[in-house]
Amino acid sequence: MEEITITLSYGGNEQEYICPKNWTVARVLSESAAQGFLPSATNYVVAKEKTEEALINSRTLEENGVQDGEVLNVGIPGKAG
Amino acid sequence: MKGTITDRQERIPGFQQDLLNNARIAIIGAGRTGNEVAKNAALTGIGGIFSVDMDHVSDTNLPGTVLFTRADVGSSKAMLVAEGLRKMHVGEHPSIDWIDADVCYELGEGLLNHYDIIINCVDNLQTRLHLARVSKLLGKPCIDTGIDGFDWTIFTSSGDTAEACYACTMTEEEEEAALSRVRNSCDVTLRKAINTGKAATIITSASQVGALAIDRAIKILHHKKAPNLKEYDPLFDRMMIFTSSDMRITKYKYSRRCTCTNHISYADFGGVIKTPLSASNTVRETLLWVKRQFGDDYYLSLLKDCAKLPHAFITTAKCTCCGKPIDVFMPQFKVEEKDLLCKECFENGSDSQFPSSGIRMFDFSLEGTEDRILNMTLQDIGIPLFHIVEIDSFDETKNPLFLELTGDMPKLLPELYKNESAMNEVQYELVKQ
Repeated sequence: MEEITITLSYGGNEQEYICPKNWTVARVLSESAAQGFLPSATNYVVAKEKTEEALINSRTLEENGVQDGEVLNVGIPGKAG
Repeated sequence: MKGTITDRQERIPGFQQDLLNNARIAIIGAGRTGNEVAKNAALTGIGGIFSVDMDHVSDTNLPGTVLFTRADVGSSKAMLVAEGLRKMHVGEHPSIDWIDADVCYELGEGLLNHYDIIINCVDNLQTRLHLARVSKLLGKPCIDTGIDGFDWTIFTSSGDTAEACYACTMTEEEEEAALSRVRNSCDVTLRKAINTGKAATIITSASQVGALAIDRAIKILHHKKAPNLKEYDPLFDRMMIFTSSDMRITKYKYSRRCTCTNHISYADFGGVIKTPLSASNTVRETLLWVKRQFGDDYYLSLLKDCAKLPHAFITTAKCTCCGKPIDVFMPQFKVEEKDLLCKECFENGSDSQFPSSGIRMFDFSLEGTEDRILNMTLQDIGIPLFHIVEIDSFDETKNPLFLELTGDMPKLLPELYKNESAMNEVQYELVKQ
């Protein structure tokens, strides 16, 4: 399966990943959390930096139209009031 | 108008103070963020403000709540917000109302129907998801806020069902996981514990997002009048997250999730019908009124309220200790563990052995429902004051009717009711058989 290079951006830091296009966004986030870049969470939000278009985490990178070299912003929505 | 008390903000190009003077916002939650939103609403002159919370002030609230003092510990948060706003409001005759209520189970949709914008300042996912659904049903814009340490989040959704709601920012699995924890609990104590957390919060993030919430509300009000003004673009469907570590606001633009079930509106069914009915009317009185108005092939249904949360009426159950059949006759969301024990097991202090279960009732009709239930009030069967109730027809070719219990308005929104001269011409007396 074809691989692409993406960069996750979170909290002012960036981390580059090479992963298969058929990985879901959720899997990419889970791997990143396992490696310690992202904090562990259940409700990440992700968007393409260029267009601000939010990704659907249950779909693959390819299904979300993520291109090679793309930067993805990751956030964790605050829930407290 | 220049020279008025709001002169400085009226100097902002395109700004129309009248839009704020005549606007009404409902602020859900009276904690850190709710306090900030309320304060900003009053100081910008938003004419109608409503506050709701179910909690009372504790000393740990004080560092983050501008409207509470040490003397207020133990008092109702929503009441104190209203009192504080009356002192600081820059308008001449604002309508400031409040109630103590559990938003998911005790806040009637009809009440929110009388406000232009819903601003969500709650602290749990279940209430956010509930309000996301209600805002679409009512066609009202909803501004959702959240804080986490130094960071904050805001998401603005329009009332348009074609556009995203808060639930669209989650996957279907995440939404289901958040709701199933409360939906499947037949114990109100457990449900409340699920929703009570001690999150990391500070006034600085609450202040920032509280300011932005009113900024968005002002933009929404202006956008409605002049949609082409770029400076007043409400940026619907954008979630914005501020991260203090790099002082950055990141935007996430959402489309409606195709599997989201929130995108239904009362307008799709002909809208909401205001009525003189109240939640203090009995089920029988309500159904007889419906029969007089619309004919005799209608029944009252709780199904729409059960879409996400446990709103059914429990008639009987099996004792969770000995298995004996017992009468419950309560709304599901009010049932506690002790209500599922028979008299003997309760008096013996016996422990539960079996999982909780009960016969859930959703539909009520004059012919098909026993007198014991027909003689209970709508509130007794779990319908909140000032709610919008669903009346379905036995003729499946007919659309359901959605009736607002407007008879509860004088009691719940006395200031708004008083200030609405048009409403004062209508007599909302309890409907009697």
